[in-house]
Amino acid sequence: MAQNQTSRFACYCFVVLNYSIRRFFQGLLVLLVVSFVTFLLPALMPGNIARALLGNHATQAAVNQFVHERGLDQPFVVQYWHYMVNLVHGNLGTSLGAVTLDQPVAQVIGPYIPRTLWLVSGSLVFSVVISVLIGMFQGIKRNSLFDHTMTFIIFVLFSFPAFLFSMLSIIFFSLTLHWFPPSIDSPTANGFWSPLQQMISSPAQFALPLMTLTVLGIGGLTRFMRGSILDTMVQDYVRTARAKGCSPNRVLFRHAFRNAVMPLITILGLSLPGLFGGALITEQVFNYPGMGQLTVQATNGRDVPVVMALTLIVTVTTVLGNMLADIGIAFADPRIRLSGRR
Amino acid sequence: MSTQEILIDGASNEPHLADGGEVRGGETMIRQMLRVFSANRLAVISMAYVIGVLLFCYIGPFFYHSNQTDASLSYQTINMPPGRGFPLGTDYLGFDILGRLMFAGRSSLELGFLAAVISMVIGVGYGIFAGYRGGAIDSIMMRFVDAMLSIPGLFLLLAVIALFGRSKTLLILVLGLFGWFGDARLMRAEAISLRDREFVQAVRSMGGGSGRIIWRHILPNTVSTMVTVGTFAMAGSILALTSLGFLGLGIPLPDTDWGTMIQMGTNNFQVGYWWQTYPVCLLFLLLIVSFNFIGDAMRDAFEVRLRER
Repeated sequence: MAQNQTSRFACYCFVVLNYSIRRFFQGLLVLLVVSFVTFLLPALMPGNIARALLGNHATQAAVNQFVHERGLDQPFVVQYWHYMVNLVHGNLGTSLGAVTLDQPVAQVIGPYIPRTLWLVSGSLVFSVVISVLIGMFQGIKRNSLFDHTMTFIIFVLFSFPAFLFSMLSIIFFSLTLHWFPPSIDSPTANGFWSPLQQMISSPAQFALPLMTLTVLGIGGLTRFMRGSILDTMVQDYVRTARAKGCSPNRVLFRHAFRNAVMPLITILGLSLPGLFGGALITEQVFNYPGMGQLTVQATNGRDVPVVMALTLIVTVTTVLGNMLADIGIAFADPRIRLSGRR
Repeated sequence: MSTQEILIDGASNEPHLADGGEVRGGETMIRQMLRVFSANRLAVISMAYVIGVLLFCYIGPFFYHSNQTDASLSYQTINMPPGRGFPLGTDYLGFDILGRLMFAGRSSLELGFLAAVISMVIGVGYGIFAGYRGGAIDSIMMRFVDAMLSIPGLFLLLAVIALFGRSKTLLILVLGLFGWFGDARLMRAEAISLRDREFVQAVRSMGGGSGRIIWRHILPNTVSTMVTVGTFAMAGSILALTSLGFLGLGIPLPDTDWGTMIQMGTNNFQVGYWWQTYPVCLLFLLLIVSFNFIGDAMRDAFEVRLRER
C-alpha cells in the first residue's frame, strides 16, 4: 500500500515535471520573439543617434568612430547575433543616454528593478485578498443590493485610468485631507530588500501608490472571482456536499472556495502586463524612481538600449509570472495537466 | 427564432434568402442593435453621452468661438478663473478652456478612432486568418501574439516613441500597429468556433472557396464580436493616447489632446487652478466609462465571450 502510494507520487511528479519543461520551452520561445522585436525596433530608427549625441559641431570622423566603436555600422544580422550572445551572457549592452553614456545598461537599471518589483508584488497581494473577499460575498449574495452596488463601483473603478486615479487620490487624500504625503522620498539604499524596508518603515508614503495599483487590479479580479464562485456553486460536488449535510460554511470553504480560487491564479499571471503599465504611471505621479520612471526618462533622452532592456526585463517577469502560475495550477489541479496534453 | 436571428445566424434554408444562407443587408443588424440598446438603460445613457461629446467637439466650435491657434500671454488672459468671457477660465498659455476642451477633444477622438480602426482591421484579418487556417500556421501566428501580449503595452509604446519621436501620424500608427494583439486573439476564437459549423460545410460542399467562406460567411457572423471589440478598442486607444499625453508624450503644441491638458492642469493644481483639471478629467473619465458600459452591454447582449478587455 505504502509503496503503491510512493510510486503514484513519483508518477505525479514526473507528469508535472514533464508539463513544466514543456511550458518552460514555450516561455523561452516567447522570449526569443520579444528579444527579436526589442532588437528590431532600434534598427529601424530614423536619424543618426551618434549625430544627436555628439552635437552638430562634431566632425564626421568622430561620428564615424563613435558608430564604429559601438558596432552600429555592422549588418543587422551580425548586430543581432552579438546582441543575443551578449544577452545569453547576461550583458544588456551599454547605455546611449547623455548622462550615462557607455555605462553598462545592467548597472544603470539595476537599482530600479527591485523598487518596481516590490511595489507590484505588494499591490498584487492586496488586490488578491480584497477581490477574493468581495467577489466571494458578491457570488454568495447574488442579486442583492450589495452585489449590484459592488458591481457598479467595481465597473467604474475598472475603467478608471491609472493616472486619473492616482492624481485624484493625491488631490483628495493628500492635498485636502492631509492623510498621506503626495510623493515617496527618494530611496537611500539600492539593495534588493531596501524597497521593502522603506515600505515597512514609512508605510504612509506608499499608501497612495499601493492603493492606486490595487484598485487597478481589483476591477478584473473581482469580476472574475464572482463568476468563478457562481460557476462552482452549481457544480455536482457542491450539491453532493450539501446533500450529505455539510454546513453552508463548510460547503463554501472546503468544497467551493478552493475550486473557485484556482482559476484566479491564471488571471493573476495575465494581469501582470497591465499592472506593470500601471506601475509606470504610478511611479511617474508619485515620483518613485522605479523601472517605469526610468523608462519615461530614457524615452525622453532617447536612450534606446535602456528602454529596450527595461521592456525586455518587464516582459521576462511577465512570462515568468505566467509560467509559474501555469505550473502552480498544474501542481494543484490534475485536470489542467491532462487537458494540457494536446 | 425570429427572422432577424435567422438572417444573422446565416444557417437557414428559407426560400427568400440568398444562396448558401448568406447574410444580406445591414438593416437587420442595426435594428437588432437598437433593440439591444433600448433594453439597457445605462448603455442608452452612455450612448447619449458619447453622442453629446461628439456634438460638443464638432458642432460646439460653431456656437462658441475661441482662439485656439495663438497663445495670448498677458496677465489679463493667462490662468484666469472662470468668469466673464471665459466660462471655464483659461490655461497657462491664455487659451480658453471651454474652447480648448473642444479643440483637444477633436484630436483625442480622431486619433483614438483612427488607431482603433487600424488595430481592428489588422486584428480581425490576422485573427480570422489564423483561426480559419488552423494547424502550424495558426500556432506560429498565435505564438507571436502571445509574445507581443506579454510586453506591457505602455512600455512598448514608450519604446516606439523613444525611437521615432511623436507626431499625429506617428501616434496613430503606433497606437494602431501595437494595439491589435488582444483583438486578434478574440477574432481567432470566433473564427475557430465558426469554421466547422454546418453552413460553412455546406458552402464547402457546394464548391465555395476559402475566400468566399471567409468574406461572405465567417466575417458577417463575427460582426457582433467586432462591434464589441471595436468599442473597447476605441476606449483603449483614447485611454492610451491620454496616458501618453499625461506623461508629457502626447501631441506636441500647437495641437493638444485631453491628456496633455490634464498634465498641464496637474502642474498648476497645487497653485489652486482647479478649472484646468476638473472639467477635462470629468469629461474624459465619463467618456471612458461610457464606452465601457456600451461595450459591456453589447457583450452581454450578443453573449460574446471576451476573455479579456
